[in-house]
Amino acid sequence: MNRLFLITALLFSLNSNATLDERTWCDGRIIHWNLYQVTFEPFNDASAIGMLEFWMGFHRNGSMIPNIYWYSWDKYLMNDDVSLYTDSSRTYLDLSHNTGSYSRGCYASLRIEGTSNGGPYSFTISGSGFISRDNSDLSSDADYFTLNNALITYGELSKWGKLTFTQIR
Amino acid sequence: MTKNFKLIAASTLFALFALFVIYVFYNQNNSSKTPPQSSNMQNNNSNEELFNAINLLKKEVVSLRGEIKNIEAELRTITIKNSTDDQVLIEISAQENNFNAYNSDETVKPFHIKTTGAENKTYNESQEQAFELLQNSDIFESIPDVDE
Repeated sequence: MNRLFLITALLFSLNSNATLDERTWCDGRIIHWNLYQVTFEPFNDASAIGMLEFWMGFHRNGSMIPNIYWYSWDKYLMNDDVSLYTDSSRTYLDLSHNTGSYSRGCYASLRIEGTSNGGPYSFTISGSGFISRDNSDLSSDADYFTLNNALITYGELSKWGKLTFTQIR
Repeated sequence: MTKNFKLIAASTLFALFALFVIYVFYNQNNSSKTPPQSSNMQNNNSNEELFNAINLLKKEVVSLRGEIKNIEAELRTITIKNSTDDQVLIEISAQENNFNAYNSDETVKPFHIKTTGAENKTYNESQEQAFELLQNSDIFESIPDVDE
């Protein structure tokens, strides 16, 4: 009886480990069709230039979903009229860099290009970093993450900052 | 003899007086005219002064140009400084700042703007409006799927 229990426990343990080792996928599925509040916050906040906010979502292939581009705010211009380029070469959240099966952090790169129509000012945000995964739930979305290595070019100014993604839906 | 002597003396005195008068008149007539040599020297002096003045002006112009260049350089530095301080935004419109070489220039405005229109709203007002709109919508309805 004891041996049987021990063997069962061992098998269960091995199986658990096997599952945990491949527990996290790192591809577009973790951000697919999620509506995020995306904010860019410059590290130097002496002025509000570059402080932008979007409520937007992405397909699993990284391209933005124009239909759910819901809201925008430019804190510098105090204006909510910000247009984004929809082409996948200009606006994307790309998770296709990850090819391994054992990741606990998924590498993501982002680019958002658009125009703040209150100026108008053209801007480009680019950023990259890791999305930490909730390892206990295989199918969980990336519900909150930050890309710290982000740069905005707004007008002719460039500012480093961080991008924060908070899931709304 | 005495008469002759007197006559000779008087003649001599008269001649001397006449010579004196002639000398005085000659001097008076010639003193108002500057000698040609002196006039040339004065002309030379005034020309030299003019050249000096022109040279001085040239030096001033060169100096001013240098100062203008310095001011321009200083202004450029100030602009860059302001840029790094993030206090001044150079006014370049989106149309002028055509830094994208892509052909894909289709843009989209946020649904919130398309629905409510651009008005003067505060951040809170604008966000509340968008959130209210979001709560009453099925945003994932009729979203076309994509290939991997």
